[in-house]
Amino acid sequence: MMDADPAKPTQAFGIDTAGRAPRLAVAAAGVILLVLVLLPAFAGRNLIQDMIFLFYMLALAQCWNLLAGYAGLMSVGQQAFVGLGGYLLFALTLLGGINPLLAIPIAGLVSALFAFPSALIVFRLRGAYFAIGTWVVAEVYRLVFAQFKALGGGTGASLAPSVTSSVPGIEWVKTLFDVRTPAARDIISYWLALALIAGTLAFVYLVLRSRRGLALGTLRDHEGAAASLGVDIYRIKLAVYVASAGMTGMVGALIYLQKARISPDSAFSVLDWTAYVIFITVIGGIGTMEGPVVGAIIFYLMQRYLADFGAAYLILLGTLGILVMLFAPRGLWGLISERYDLTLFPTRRRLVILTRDSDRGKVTAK
Amino acid sequence: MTGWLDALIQGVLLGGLYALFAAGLSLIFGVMRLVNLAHGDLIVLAAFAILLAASKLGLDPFVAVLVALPVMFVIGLALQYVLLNRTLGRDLLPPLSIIIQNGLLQIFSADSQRLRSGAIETASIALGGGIAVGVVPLLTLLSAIAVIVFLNLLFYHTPLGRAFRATSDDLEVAQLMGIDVSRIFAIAMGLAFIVITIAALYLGLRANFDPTIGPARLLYAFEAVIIGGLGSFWGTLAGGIVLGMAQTIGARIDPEWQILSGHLAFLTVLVLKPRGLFPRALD
Amino acid sequence: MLLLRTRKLTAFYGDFQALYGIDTTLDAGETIAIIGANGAGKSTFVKAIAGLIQRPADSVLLDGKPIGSRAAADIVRLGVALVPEGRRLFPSLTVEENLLIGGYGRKTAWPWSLDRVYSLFPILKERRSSATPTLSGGQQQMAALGRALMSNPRILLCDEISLGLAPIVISDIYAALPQIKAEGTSVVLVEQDIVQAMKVADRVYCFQEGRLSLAGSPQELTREQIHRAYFGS
Repeated sequence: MMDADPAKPTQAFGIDTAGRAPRLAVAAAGVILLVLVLLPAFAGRNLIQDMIFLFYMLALAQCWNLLAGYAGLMSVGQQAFVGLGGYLLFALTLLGGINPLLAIPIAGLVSALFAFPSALIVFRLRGAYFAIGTWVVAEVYRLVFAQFKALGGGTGASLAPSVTSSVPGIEWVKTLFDVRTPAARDIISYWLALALIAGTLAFVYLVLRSRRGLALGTLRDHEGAAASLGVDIYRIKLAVYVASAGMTGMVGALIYLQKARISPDSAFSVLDWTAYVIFITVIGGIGTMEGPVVGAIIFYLMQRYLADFGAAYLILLGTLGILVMLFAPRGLWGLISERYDLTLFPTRRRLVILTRDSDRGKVTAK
Repeated sequence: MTGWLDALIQGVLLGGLYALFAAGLSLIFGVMRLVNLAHGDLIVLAAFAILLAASKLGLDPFVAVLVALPVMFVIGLALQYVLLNRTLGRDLLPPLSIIIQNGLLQIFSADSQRLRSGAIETASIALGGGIAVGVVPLLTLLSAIAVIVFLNLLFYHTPLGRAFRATSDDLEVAQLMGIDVSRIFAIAMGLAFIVITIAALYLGLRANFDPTIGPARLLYAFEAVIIGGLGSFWGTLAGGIVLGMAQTIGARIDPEWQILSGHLAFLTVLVLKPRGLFPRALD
Repeated sequence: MLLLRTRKLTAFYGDFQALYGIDTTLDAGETIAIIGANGAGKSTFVKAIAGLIQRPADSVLLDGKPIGSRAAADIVRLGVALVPEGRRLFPSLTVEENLLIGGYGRKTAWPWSLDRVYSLFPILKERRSSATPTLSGGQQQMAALGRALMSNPRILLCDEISLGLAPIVISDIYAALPQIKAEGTSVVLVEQDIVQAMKVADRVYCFQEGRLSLAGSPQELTREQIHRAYFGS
């Protein structure tokens, strides 16, 4: 699809990362964000709780997508950091007396630190072996935390009311929206979750647009070629793994602050924090930022209306996963974006041919 | 002292079970270069198949397994031909795993099940010094050894085994030899299902099982394969035994540490000898 | 007697077109050489015949019947064997096992049996139990040739069998060709190095950027013609 004018020597090339929709998308995003921030003013408690769920599942999906969809690290062990973040929150607040709001970023930081030794071990494996290796690491975390009697051992622990009510802003929210304490707590959690998902999206977006992000794309597409181009694969993978772990840890801390109750089986659940997350990413479209958004919304709706069907619901999820993989391998967002040539988070680079008069001609050379 | 010796012996016997779990995984990897992520759930599926045959036909599990074997073989062929021979077949295994687990839940409920075989379950052979080995665990270990010997003979002394190894080495050139790769994969999968069914027999005899225990079996199988070293069936046997011993020794220290000890042994081998204890020379 | 024919054979690697409508013939018992520069499409040509690359159903005809839609494993069974570029022996198999697997899909046990291949390449018998990566380049090439012969092919496609080998080793390998031809096998030799191939070929096809640039017998073609066909104007 090249511009058919090869003989003119004065052609210059430029890199353009803007697609067709982004300006519109930026405006829309601003509006959406505003609406979301103001949501507690007119939404009921159920909706707020549902949105919290949607936000943190989306955040987990974005983290996993960065790992697997961009860096090619198919991890089945992200639950290690969800649980770690959750337990760190409990430990920091219950045992350390630290304010929950502060505990969340600390949990994220410590999770990121724990990611280093994990990486050292699992990076020795590739492909499906890497996947299972990460799972074993998560299992080790689960079994170890089940030994910590101070945090409830195998049965788990609850967050004391003194902790849950020490989250700053509860009184202010109660007055502002005229609600009781539990609802106010939820609203604060909601804003925290909103801040987290906004931060996660911003972080992922900036990473992908940066020079390192370009390297990430090459990793996913062809590791061998990337290596020959001098891309320091190990360093980049490590950075992505650690960053993802940190963000996941923060999300885990938030999740368990909101649930106020933790146990090893819940915190390190493969189903809740990995299987569902992978489902979201694959259904939506792996390797794109928009995909997990679509997937999370669909998953949320399915959870809301179908989860009561128990085993049959899970069979449905599995079947849906298989169907999407067979017939829409780029996910539902992939179908939409191919059909309408749409990109909301412009992260792909396009080569642009500039004409002699410096008019920007948006011709994409493949 | 006898306590530790007993733990070691029980570990070796447990290792036989793990080696059986691992053998099927090893076989599939050895031919298709594929880690079957639904492996554990397939073992559970086979256990339920044996249970069904035993209860509906009033058979002892040791006989019921003979009924289940051909059925599972055919299911394995079908699975390979219908689902896994597609290009992205391997990606379909995780959702398949979820479907199998929940399908079994729907049909059989979450109740714990057990394969009952009467007196043999508690029979044991005294070795003196207060140590006894159960007959069923001993049979498990012997079956594991038999399976490994068979797989070795198959892979290294038959034309089919040559075809397996060639296909695993170089899919494209294997076709240039006239090898029908789809057929080879299907046969390998069918054989793996036979091994899986044998493993399921001993799983069900030894302990309770229910639809959700599949993933943990996959982990043990996987750990055994990695500890032993990729590409070697004897390595898989050794890996299973090492894992079994790690677990029983850990349990001796503290019963709650049994599974954790196994994981730690796996991670240790991974760090110190990433290619396993007895890897094949080339890879 | 016409054995193999390609008719408007085209081939693609993704979006990239590697062959643009190649028409060639091969008679029974003939030896033809396929020459051309790197990337001209020679390997693609034989891979397409062997069934490793997608091609139009009627673009390759064996005994007058189209085989373009047949899978590679079928084509070997029809008597067309490829010695792939770079030898590509199976590292998990010993030398002898590599030879034996070559005979996996064969319909007849004649004329090439294991013993016969060993008499053609005695060094292989000496190293029969060795792992193939321990063989020298020339020995590996002999093993690869022997492996292809074990399927008792009517047509032997050789993709750059002299690649990376010293001249004296190349001579040794080419010394085996007369015996192969004596069995009535038709041989297609793809070579970048023209000298050896032209010595043994009845006819030559020259490829250039995916197209046929020259066809004829070595005797009637002049050096200038070949040079021009090889490199282009």
